[in-house]
Order: sequence, then structure tokens, then C-alpha cells
Amino acid sequence: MIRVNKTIKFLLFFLVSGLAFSQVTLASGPKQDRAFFQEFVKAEFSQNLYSSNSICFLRTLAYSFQEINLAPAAALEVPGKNLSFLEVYIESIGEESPGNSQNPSGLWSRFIETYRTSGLKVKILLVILIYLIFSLLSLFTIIIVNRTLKTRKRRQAKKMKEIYQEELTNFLFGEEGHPYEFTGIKFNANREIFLNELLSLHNNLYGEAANRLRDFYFNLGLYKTSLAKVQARRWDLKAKGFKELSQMDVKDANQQIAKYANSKNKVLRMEAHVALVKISEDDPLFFLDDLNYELSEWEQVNILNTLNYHHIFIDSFERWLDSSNDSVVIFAAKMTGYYKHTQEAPKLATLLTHHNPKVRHHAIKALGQLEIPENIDDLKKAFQNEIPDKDHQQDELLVLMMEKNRKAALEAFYPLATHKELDFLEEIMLHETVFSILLIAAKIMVSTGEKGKEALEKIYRKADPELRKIIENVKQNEEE
Amino acid sequence: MIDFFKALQYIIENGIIVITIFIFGSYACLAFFSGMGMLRYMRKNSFVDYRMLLSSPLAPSISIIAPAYNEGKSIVDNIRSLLSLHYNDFEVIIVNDGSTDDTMERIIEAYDLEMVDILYEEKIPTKPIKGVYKSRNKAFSKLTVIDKENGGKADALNAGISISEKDFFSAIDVDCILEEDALLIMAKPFLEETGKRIIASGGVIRVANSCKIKEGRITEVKLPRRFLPKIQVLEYTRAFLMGRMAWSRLNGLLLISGAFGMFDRNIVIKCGGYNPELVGEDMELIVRMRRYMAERKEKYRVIYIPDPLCWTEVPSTLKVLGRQRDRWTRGTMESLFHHFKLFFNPKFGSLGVLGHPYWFFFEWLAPIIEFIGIMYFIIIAILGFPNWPFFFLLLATVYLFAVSLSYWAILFEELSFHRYTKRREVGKMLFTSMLEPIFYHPFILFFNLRGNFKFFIGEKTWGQMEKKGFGEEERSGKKKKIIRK
Repeated sequence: MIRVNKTIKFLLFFLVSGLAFSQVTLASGPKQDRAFFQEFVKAEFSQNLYSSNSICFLRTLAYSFQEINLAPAAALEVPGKNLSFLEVYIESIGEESPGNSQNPSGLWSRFIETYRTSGLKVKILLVILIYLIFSLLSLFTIIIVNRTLKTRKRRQAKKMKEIYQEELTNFLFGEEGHPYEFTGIKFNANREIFLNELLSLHNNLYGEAANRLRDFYFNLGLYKTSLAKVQARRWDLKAKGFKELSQMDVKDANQQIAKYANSKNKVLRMEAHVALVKISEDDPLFFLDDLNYELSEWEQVNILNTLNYHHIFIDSFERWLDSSNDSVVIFAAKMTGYYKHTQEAPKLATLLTHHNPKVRHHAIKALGQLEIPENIDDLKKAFQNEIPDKDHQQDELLVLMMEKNRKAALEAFYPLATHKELDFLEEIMLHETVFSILLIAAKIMVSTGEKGKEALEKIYRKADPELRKIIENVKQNEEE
Repeated sequence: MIDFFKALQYIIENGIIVITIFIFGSYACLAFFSGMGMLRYMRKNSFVDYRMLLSSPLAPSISIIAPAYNEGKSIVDNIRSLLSLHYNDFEVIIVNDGSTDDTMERIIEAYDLEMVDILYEEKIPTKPIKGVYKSRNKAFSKLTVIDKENGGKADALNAGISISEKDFFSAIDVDCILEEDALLIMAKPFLEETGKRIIASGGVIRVANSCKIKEGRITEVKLPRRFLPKIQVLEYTRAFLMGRMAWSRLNGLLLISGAFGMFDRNIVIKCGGYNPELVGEDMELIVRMRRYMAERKEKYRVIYIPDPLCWTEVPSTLKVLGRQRDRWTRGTMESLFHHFKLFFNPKFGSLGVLGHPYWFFFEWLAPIIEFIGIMYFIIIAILGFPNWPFFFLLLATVYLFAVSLSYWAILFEELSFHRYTKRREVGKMLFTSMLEPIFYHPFILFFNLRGNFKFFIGEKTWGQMEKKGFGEEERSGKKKKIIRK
């Protein structure tokens, strides 16, 4: 990545300088050319010897002159011009232009001369043309050089990787106390490969072997390399440093990493959070207390993965359930449900009336995961709350979200429902319009036993064809 | 009359310069944005471990919907390849779109399917569904097969969307080869965006001709041997790594390739699904989804991922290429004209101000302007008064610009994914770039104009797409046909 960045900077510099070069090269030169040609043309026309016998051809030539030799076309449009004059005129330019008087030789000199004596349109095209030639040649060179270097570097990296894998294995499983030397580790490039190999091996080991590698990481001073990355200007290097330090459990780095817990850069922020979860022993999720930014779902996946992978136990998520940051509340609700923290159910229930429908959704789902019968009434209320009123009807996406919440409430309700809830379910069957909700309600009714089936049968008799289809399907599946 | 002609000539010649500079500038800007986007993407994902999604209970659930029409010869392998993708919470929905060959019989036999009584809501109207099948074998529990009457690709996708119950669906061409981690990589943008709803994401489509394929997986990436597919490698690299990457960054992306894309199912349903009346249903859906979100003042994004996730066989004959390209042209025109309200309409944000006008001028109008320019030049050449020096200068500039764009694309590929690892291959790509404007572009221009003509006379056929099939020699005569409504 370092090289990618450098290459792009180099390219930009190269191409901008190419543009400047083409412009400066082409624009330089005697400024008297224009004045010379204007005088020349005026002098020729003052003789007034011409007749118009080929207007079209004359005009075309005039335009050609305008493009290439800067002769004012307007002057050539004077009636009375003839072809013979133009021929003479071309020859005159060829013989007497100052460029020619300086005896330009070679393609480049002619090119420069043409540029100096051209109109604006041609000048623009010539600048672009030179620039393109310049950039094509540089791109061609860069692609070939990059390919060659990359192949060489890759080959070298592969070789060193194999060497280090073998040396690290020998170190781990060889005789203790034996002094170990690692090939070419003093070179930065090799050191990075070595560090990566060490981290990769450490990631796959537990117990004594992992501890030996960790000790070795400190003894060899590799933690300094990781700390240097945290100090680097580039955010991706910082993030890599966080990863390395947290993997090797460098708790001293906590303060340094915590500085980035509210970084504007969302990737850096996330990597800081993940690292802090690992190395903050007392309070792994402390950064959630003052998080100024939204916690993305990707970050939530990362944090949960870190908690699980390192067997980090969080006693309670309750303090984040009333955070002012909705994304933190959502994460806490998800974790409460996932880790089945039943003691937090009352707090979760308070979120069922939260202003944010996404928070309500995750609170409902978490309550469902907790499977506490006492929450049935809360879930019923949650279902009722999610029926959109007239004001909500205009907002299609809100209505959709509320539908989703009603469905989630019923799904949460499913394993807890008994025949006592049949009235509530009958209400749903009679008034609900959303297919998937009707289907779940019918399934729950059947699952409550004979009373539920009887109640469903009654509804079937009064139902419209669509509802009948749903009930028939549920009954049929129950029989199977 | 002469004055008029002179004025016309003046306008055209100056106009050419202005258009040339404008086009060059636009492409240069796109390349710049693309470069920045690529750099950020590569950095951001250089230390990402996608595998954590495999075991995460927070990973989103995904349906893969793959329409199949007369795919009997390869369908069993294709399904196996899809079922072996690395992801946890996903299902594969194959929609047999009224195949006239033995596609359905082969699937039933290979995966031990039985018809099941699934009740579903027809969220989007489609042609009648004859049956829904599931496997008796629990190893294939992720597989659902829908057998329906022929209604075209869009109709088949709509049927899959109705049956699916997941939050997101991925629409793919069943004969494409997906990378094993494709779903993991594609799901990430939906999770990492905050403050905006991701409504769709698309990945790079790569050319699989000449690649070594074993059991539905690419085992060795090779540059195609034949000229046409080789040129299309360049074309795809340019379009995906430079164009779409930049548009994604500018939030002006109008197209997610029908070969592989992932969508927010609820938004697609709210928008009415794919339009089966159109040949460019993939592009039109994205435009409609974006319009839907913008009209509701919802913050949203359409994301593009530069990772090479999907490999497909591209046309290797001019005849098939021509059919594909004139269909693409008609698809573009349908989307642009159906949603002409967006044109320079600031109410729709970057979609109205940038995306739609860009496609209007550069994708639809540019070939027409080019054709007018050629006709104009032919006329003045016949009349005997072309400005030859100016002509050659302009020609050289345009040619070099076209080649340099390809070189930039090759450089991007080299610095990022570096899929063509042999030194000779990069040499071939550089050389092919120089031939493309001369030997390939004129045909593309012709196919484009033919597409315009067909659009205006109201032709709505898909035409025949003949593919040789993966794992077969390119020169073998074995062909399969896909005929779409």
C-alpha cells in the first residue's frame, strides 16, 4: 500500500509536470511572429490584385491558414482574391517567416514552429497532444516497471515468508534457551514480513506457545514497530498498529489508542474500538459512553466477534440502553438479547416506546430472545404501538418499518403464547392486512392448542378468500 | 447560402474542440475520483477479515436469485457452485423461466427435489408459478427452485423476490462464476454505512473466457486468447475500475450489472420490482429505486465494489457482441427516457444533476454526435475542402486519449487487484489498447446506432446470446442459446 500511494503521488506529479512542460515548451519563442504575419498579409492585400474565381477553395485555404499559420481569415475574404495569390502567399510564408529564417530543422523544431504560428484551437490540441504522448510514455514505463518490481518483490516476500515460517516454528518447538537468529530481520521490508508471520502464527496458537511468541515480540522490540505505526500520519498504518498492539495485548497502548475512539475517520475509529475491547481489562466497552458517532453494523459485528473470540464477558449492557446515541442503544439491545441478560428485560421494555423505530425493533427482538413469559403484555403493547395512525400513513418507509416491528413482536410472542392470548390474536386476524403478520398470527393460534384451532376455524368461516388461503395453509402444515 | 455554410463550419469546428475538451476533462475527472476511491477502498480493506461475518449472528440474511432459461447442460454445476459460497445465512432461489429443454428435470434429479406447498404473497405480479420445489436432502436445504411460465429475466427475478423472505437479495446470471467470498464482500457495505441507507451494491464483472475453471470455480486467471474477448477485458476494466468506481464515490451510479448485484429487498418491492417490459431492466430498476428514495427525501447510496467478484463469458463473435450492445443501448435509452424528469433536476441531487445528464450526453448522445461528425467529414471530403491538418491533429489527439484511458485502467488494475500475473499478459493488454480504437470502436459505434434505430422503431427483443460455455475450448462449436422475451 505504501508503494501504491507513492506511485499515485508520483504519477500526479509526473503528469502535471508533463502538462506544464508541454505548455511552457510550446508557448516559449519569439513573440514577433503574429505581428510579422499581420504586416505581411496587410502588405499583400494592399496590392488588391485578386478576383473571386474559387470562393469555396479560397475559404477552405483561408481556414487552413487561420489554423496553421495565423493569417487573419477576414483579410482573405475580400472579394477579388484569386488562387494564384494564395499560392504565392503560401510560398512567401515558407520563405520569409522568421521561424524559417532561423532554419528550423527536425520534426520537433517544425512542431514548435507550427505551434507558435497557430490559432487558439490548434494550440489547445497541440498542448493536449504533447501531454498525451508524454503521459502515454510515462504510463507505459510505470506499468512495466511496476510489474517488474512487483514480481520481484512478491518473489522475495514469498521466499522470506517461507524462511520465517520455518525459523519461527524452530524457535517455538526447538530447544529452549538456544539463541535464535532470524535472517535479514534488520531490514525494514523483512521486518514487516517477519512481524506479519509472527502475528499470523500467534493468531492460531493458544497457551504457552502463544505466550512465548508474545514475549518474543517484546524482547525483539517489535512492539516499537507497532507503536511507530500508531504515530504514523497515514490512518491505515495507525489502524494496522492498533491491530498489532491489541493482538499482542500491549495494555500500555490503551491511552494512545483511546485518543482515536472519537476519530472522524470511521475505519480508524472502528479499529480503535476493536483494539480497546481487547486491551481494556476493566471496562472493555467504555468508549460507548461518550461515542459521538453512529456505531455502524459492521463495527457491531467486529466488536461482538472480539468479545466472543477472546471470551470477554460484559456483566451488563444496561447503562447503554439509555444512551443518547441511538446506535449504541441498538447495539446494547442486540447484546442483551444475544447474551440473554434477562435482568435487563425491564429496561428493554422501556425502549418499546422509543421515538426511533429501529431502536423499538431491536428492543422487541431482544425481548423475544430473552423468552420471559412476563413480557407477553409488553410485546402485545408493542404490537399495538406499531399500528400506524393517519399521520404515519404518508411515510411509506416508516409504515414499512412499523410492519416489520409488528412482525417481530409476533415472532417474539410466538414461543410464549398460550390460549389466554387468543382474543388478542383473533383481533389481529380480523383487522391486520399484512400477509406475513396474518400468517404468523394464524400459526400462533394453532400452536396454542385445540382452543386456538377452534377459534381459527370460526375466523375461517367469516374470512375472505385470501385469509382462507392462509388459514388452510397453516392447518395443512399443522396436520403434516 | 455561403455565409450559412461558413457559419455552420465555424460552429462545427469550434464545437468539436469544445466537446473534445469537455469529454477529455470529464474522463480525467472520473479517472481522478476513481483513483482516489480505489486508493481509499484498498487501504480500508487491506486489514479486513471478512470471515468474521461467517459466524456472526448480526450478519444480514441474503437470498441469491438466479433465473435460468434452457441452462440444462450447466445448471447442476452452477447450482452446486452457488450453494458452496462462503456465507452463513443465505438461500439460493433458482427460477426456471419456462425452459424448453431439460433444465427442470436435471435439477429435480440432481438435488432430489419435491414440490412443496409454500404460501407466499405475490408482492410483484408475475407470470403464473407452476410449482415451488425444495430438496428432500437436508444438505441442500438452502436451495429453493421455482418453476414458472416463461416471462423473461425480469419476470423471473420478480418471482424470486416474492418468494424470498430475506432482507437482501442478490440477483445473478446463473451462468456467471462467483468468487467464494462474493457474498461476504458484497454484504459489508450494507453494514458499514451510517446515516444513509444502502439500497444496492454491485461488483466488478470480469471476463472468464480462456480462464481455467474447475467445478464452477476459477482456478487460473488468463487473458483471453481471442481478439474480441481480449478487447472486452480492457473495456470492462475501464468501465468498472474507472467509471463506476468514480460514480459510486460521487453517488451518481445508475447501473448495477444484471450479472451480479445486491439489493435492499423492501425498497425493490416498494418500487414495483423489475420491469419485464424493458430490455434494460437492471439499469431502469436502479434509476427507479434512486428516484423513489430521492422523492421521499431519504438519504441513500448505491455502492460499487471494485473487487473482482463475478466472472462471465463475454461474446467472442461480432454477431453476438452486436446483439448484446444494441440491447445495452436500448436499455440505456429506456432508462433515460422513462425517467427524463431527472434530467438536470436538482431535486434529485447528484442523480439529477450529474448521473442522468452524464449518461444522456456521454452514453447515449456521444455515439450520435460521433456519427454526425463522421458524416459531416465525409461530406466536406467529397466536396473537396476538408481542413486536413486540423483533421489529422484532432484524430491523433482523440486516438491517443483513448489509448491513454486504457493505459490508466491497466495501471489501476496493476496497482490494485493484479489479476493477470504473467508479464506477457500486460504487454498484450498494452498492445491491444492501441488497436482498440481502430479495429473495435467502429463496430461498437455501429451497434450503438443500430440500437438507437431499433429503439425508435420500437423493437423490444433480447436477441440470441450464444455462449460457448465454461470449461470448453473456445474454438469448439458447442453452443447454447439463451432467448429472452
